[in-house]
Amino acid sequence: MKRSKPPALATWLLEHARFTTTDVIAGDLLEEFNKGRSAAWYWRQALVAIVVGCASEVRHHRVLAARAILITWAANYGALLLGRLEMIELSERHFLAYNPQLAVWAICFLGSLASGLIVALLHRGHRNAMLLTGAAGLLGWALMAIVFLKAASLQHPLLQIIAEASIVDYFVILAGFAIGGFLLTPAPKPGAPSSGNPSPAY
Amino acid sequence: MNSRSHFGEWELLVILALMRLGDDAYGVPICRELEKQTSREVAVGSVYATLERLEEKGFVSSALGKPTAERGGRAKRYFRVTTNGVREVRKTQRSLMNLWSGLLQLERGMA
Repeated sequence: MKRSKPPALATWLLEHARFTTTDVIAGDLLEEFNKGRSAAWYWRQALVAIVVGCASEVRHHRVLAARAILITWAANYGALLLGRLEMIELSERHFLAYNPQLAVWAICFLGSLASGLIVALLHRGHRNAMLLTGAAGLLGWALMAIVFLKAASLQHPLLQIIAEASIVDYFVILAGFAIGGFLLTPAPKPGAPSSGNPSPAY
Repeated sequence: MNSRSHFGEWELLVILALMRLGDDAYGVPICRELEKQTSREVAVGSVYATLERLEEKGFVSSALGKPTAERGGRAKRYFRVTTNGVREVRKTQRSLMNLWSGLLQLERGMA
């Protein structure tokens, strides 16, 4: 049976992305959906529109995008390093009153929460695009680290355990970054796309 | 205007679809025309990204229409090809015709 309304989550994502063209695209997608397009088509189009809208904004503000990635990497690398040092410290002292892994996750979460906040506040005019860029940077970093650890674990089996533990660490980091960036900072105003006419970087 | 003025393949397809549609060129008919001509699904988002690029180059201009109920109160964005755009399409057409002419493989219908 044909649904009478388009997928609400896809519409919500598109409306809240607030890139230059997403409002007009949301209208086009609704018009097409009402003419018989499927929910799967609507989802595909909405996701592509968000990715393309973000890429377009990054293309116009390359310096800001590079800065967002660097801030994200630096803050999270610092947090991860601090978390690992904390874990070693606790292991050496045999301090077992609480789980040291929880301490690592807590530090990673707080570090990424802070990095999400910093990226969002430094790029208020392009908040969503820069947060998505930062998140993509984090995913890229996580993927590289895990692939490296997996490859190295062929010679050092202990690294296999670290690689598996890192997957959870990076998941916590990504969650913290998203919460800090998207939920703890004010969203762009409705009807006011983050960039009007494309302007040069800065 | 951007110094790079020649069209990419997708840009050429989009601007030709725009020319075929005339005054009624907004997202939905442009995508339908492209789907009809290329026989493949077209992403509305990538069409708008291309149109924005063409607008930056000065080959296309756009204007917002009135919001309508069937679009959930959202406006249509109408596009039209500028004089510069038409001139550039002609230039591209000439270049392609020159390249195509005299190709034996194409004249004999070979793949």
